[in-house]
Amino acid sequence: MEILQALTAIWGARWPIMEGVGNTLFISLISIFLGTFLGVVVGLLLTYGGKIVRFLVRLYSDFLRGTPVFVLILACFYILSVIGIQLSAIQAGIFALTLFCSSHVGEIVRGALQAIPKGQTEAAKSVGLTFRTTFFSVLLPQALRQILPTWVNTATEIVKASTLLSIIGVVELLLSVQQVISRTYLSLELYFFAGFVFFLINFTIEKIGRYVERKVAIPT
Amino acid sequence: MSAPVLEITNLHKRFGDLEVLKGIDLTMHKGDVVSLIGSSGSGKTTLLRCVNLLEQYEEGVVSIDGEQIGYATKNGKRVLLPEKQIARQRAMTGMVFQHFNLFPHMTAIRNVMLGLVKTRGMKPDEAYSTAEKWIQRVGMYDRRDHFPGQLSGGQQQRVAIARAIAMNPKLMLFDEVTSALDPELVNEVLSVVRDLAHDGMTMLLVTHEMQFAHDVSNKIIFMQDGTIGEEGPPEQLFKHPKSERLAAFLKSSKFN
Repeated sequence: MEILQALTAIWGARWPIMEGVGNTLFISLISIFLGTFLGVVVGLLLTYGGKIVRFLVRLYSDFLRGTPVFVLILACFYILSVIGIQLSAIQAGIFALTLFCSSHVGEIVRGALQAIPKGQTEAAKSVGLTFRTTFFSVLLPQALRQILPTWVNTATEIVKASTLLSIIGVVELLLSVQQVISRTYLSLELYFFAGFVFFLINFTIEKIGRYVERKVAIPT
Repeated sequence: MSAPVLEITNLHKRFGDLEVLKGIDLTMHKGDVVSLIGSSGSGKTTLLRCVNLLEQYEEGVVSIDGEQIGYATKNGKRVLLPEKQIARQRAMTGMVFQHFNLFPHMTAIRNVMLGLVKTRGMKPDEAYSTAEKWIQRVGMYDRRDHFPGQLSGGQQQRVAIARAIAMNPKLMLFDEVTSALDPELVNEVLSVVRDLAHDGMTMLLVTHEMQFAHDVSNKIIFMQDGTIGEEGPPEQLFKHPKSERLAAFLKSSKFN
C-alpha cells in the first residue's frame, strides 16, 4: 500500500510542504507582478524610446531572453554578492524571475503596442491629449487586452521556473517535497504529487486569465 | 476686423527629398467652408494634417485665431513648441478622419467624453451632458452606450464628428470622411457635416464628393502637385474651370 504510505508521508510533512507551496506562490506572484510592471516599461521604451534608449533596452531584453533562467538565478545569487550586493536566496530568486518576466512581458507589450493602428494616437492627439494621457487612456487599455492570453502563458512559465530556486536553497514546493522523498524514498508518488500541485496552481491562473479575458472583452 | 480663424502662409512640407507642399497660402474667416479637391498625391491631406500638426513642416506659418501653431521663433531660430503647448493648440481644431479612429474600448459617449475630461478638464458629469448633447445632434443618442465595433461605418463616423465638435473647436478639419463608407452610408454623414456648415462652423474639408463640395463650400481649392492650382467660389471653379488640369479632373470625377 505505497499510496497510503505516500499520503501518510505527505500528511506528516504537511506543514513544511504548505510552507513550500506558500513560498512558490509568494515568489511567483511577486515576480509576475514586478516583472509585468517592469515589462510594460520595457515595452513602452522599446516602442517609443529614442534611438539610444531603444538600443539599450533591446540589449537588456535580448540578453535576458537569450539566457537560461537557471543561469540568471545563479548569477543573481552568486555574482551580485561578489560586487557587494547581498541578497538572500529568496530575494535573489525573485530578482532573477522578475528580470526574466520583464523581458518577456516587454516583448509582448511591444508587439501589442505596435499592432495598435496609428490612427488611434492621431485621434487622441487631435482631441488635445498629451502622449502620457494617450498612453494610459487609449493605448495601454488596448494593449493589455491584447497581451492577456500570452501574459497568462508567461505567468505559468514563471511558476514553473520558480522550481529552479531550489538550487540556491529556497525551500519552495519542489524542494520541500524532495526533503520528504529523501526521508521516505517514495519518489514516484511524491513527485507526482508535486507535479499535481503545480498543475493546480497553473490551472487556476489560466482559469482566472480566461475569466478576466471574457470580462474585459470589447463587445462587437 | 478680428484675426482670421486660419491663416497659412508659405507652407512647405517635405518627406525626405520629396516636396509635397510647395508654398501654400490660405486664409479662412469665421464661418468659411473651404473644400480641398484634387487627385491623390496632390497634397490635400498633408495640408490638412499640417494644420493640427499631425505632420511637422519645414517652412511657413500656420496661425489659428492669430496664434502661431506648433512653432516659435527663438533667437532667430524656428523651434518646435513643447508637447503640452502643442496638445493645447491641437484642441483648437477638431479633426475627423477617413477611418473614424474611434477608441474601440470605449462606448460612443465615452469616446466623446475623453477629450472633454482630459483636455478641457471638465468634471465627468459635465462632460457627460456635453457629450450627450452632441451625440444627440449627430443622431446617435439611442446608441450612445454601444461600442464602435457594434456600429456601422456611418454611425462610427457620426460619433467621430461628435467627438471632434464637442471640444468646441474654432475650426473643423474633415479628411475624406466618407471615403471609407459604403455608398448607402455616405449621406447620413454628409448631412451631419452640412448641418454644421449651416450653423456657421468654420470648416476645412478634403473630399472626393464633388457635388457635396459644391453645395456646402464657399470656396474650393484645387490642389495640384503640392501647389494651389486654382481657387475660387464653387460656381466658378466647377462650371468654368480655367485650367485644363482642373477640367480633366472634374470630368474624371464625374461632376455634373
